[in-house]
Amino acid sequence: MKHSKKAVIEMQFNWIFIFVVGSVILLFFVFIGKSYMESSNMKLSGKILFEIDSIMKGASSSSKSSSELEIPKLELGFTCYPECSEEGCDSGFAIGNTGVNKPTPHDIIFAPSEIKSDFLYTWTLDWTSPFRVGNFLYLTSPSIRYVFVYNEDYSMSKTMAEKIYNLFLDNEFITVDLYSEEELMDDFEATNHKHVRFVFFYTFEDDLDLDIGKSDFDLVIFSDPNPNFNGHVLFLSEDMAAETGDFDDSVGYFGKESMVGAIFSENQDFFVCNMHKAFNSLERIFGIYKIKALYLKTQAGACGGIYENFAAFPLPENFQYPSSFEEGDYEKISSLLKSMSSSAEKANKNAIFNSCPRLY
Amino acid sequence: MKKTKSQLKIGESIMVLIIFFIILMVGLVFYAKVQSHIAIKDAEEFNAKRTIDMALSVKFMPELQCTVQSTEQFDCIDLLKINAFKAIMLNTEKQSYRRYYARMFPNAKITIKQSFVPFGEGIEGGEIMLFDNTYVDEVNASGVIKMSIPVTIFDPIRDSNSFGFIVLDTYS
Repeated sequence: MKHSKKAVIEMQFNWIFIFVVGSVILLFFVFIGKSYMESSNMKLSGKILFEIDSIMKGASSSSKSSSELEIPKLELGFTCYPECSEEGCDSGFAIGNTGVNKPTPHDIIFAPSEIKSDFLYTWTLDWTSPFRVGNFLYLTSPSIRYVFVYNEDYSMSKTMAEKIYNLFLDNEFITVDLYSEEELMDDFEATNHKHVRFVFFYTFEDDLDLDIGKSDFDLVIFSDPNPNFNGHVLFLSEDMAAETGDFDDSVGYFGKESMVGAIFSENQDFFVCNMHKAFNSLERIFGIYKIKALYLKTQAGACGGIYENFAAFPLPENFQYPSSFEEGDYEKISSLLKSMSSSAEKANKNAIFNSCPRLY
Repeated sequence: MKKTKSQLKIGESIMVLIIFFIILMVGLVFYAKVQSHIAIKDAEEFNAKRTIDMALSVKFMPELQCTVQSTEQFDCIDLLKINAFKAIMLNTEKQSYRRYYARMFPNAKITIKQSFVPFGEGIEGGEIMLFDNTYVDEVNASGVIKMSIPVTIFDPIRDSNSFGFIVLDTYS
């Protein structure tokens, strides 16, 4: 059948028209669909983030508690950079690369940089100095294993490793093992954990030559553990583990809670950042107790003298945890915290002894 | 000028398209309305959760909580700590503290109300405005959630407890 020239042009025009209009309609729906997907992903991430934030707020409100929380299996990323000010730190957590994040400039959260699991383990410990400063929140996941190592030659190493190990046993969810150095080298059993964190309670300077299966690992070294739970800690990544640790790079920890914080922190920067937040809290709470001591001093009549020393305690202006430890920094902070503690303890003891109002 | 058959056909197709897009627009407007309604509901839910989170924070603040040898006493706030907190908030030299609490309690107001004092004097006037960080007043706010948390207020100097509330007002 032969079409006329006019009919052929008409048909071609119809096809072009259908093609153009069809493309426009298709593009329109693709655009709508894409924006809907993006907005609902953002909305979902925001909702999940808000829920996780609520869970963490709840967890950090109750001290000495541990829990296992079922969460959506999304990549939960934590950041905390050590450049802090009294306004807080550049810190937060986010879901994957969605761009939805929750800033946590003041919340003290010791965690790995990434958690991708169906479960989130939370643990809180109360930091006292000696008055209650606040809760430290520790986060981890079932894919991380903690291996504590002590050296039989140093009794303090074993004592401290056992103390921290027993503390960890309070949390039934975390996978933690205790080895002596000898046992570690001879009988270490690899598991299928994604990550293994070796925690040494002595100055470990050898190569860590172990078969740990498919897991990746890193090291936390407490070079001089002592019963006061104060000392130096060094963080070594898997690449750095082959080298001898440079203890000049270590940072200070002050108290059992910060020692545990180091064990849970992704790296040194993460630890320093959270310690900075902790010190900000300490400065703030100290301010409250100092004013309380001033009230007690003026109003408690015969009891007044008891609080005088604490009320006059000279905590330096802008008392902060240093971003990097220079020579003498650790000793300076340590002695300052010690004298602040003993001043508060003395005031409280005397208050109890003389039937006066307690400071804390 | 007389219209050809094909011109009529194009006109017909264009009309169909216009009607199609009109229906689509009506659909989109309807969808947008539903979505905005859901968004308002979500915002209300968010605000309610935010209030609960804030209530939890204020209840467990070491700045206010009573302690015995550094062990916290639940549902108890220390009167001297309340006064110390208030003094810190009024200290213009240390604005960073105010900013810290402003971040913790955005668009919110915290008041301590004393409802029953068994012995002696209590809080002057029966209430203390602890912290006011509201961006809008009650009239202009799109929503206000008021939450009262019952607590005991411990006065360490008189060694006495009284009943009261932490009243948290969150504005949206």
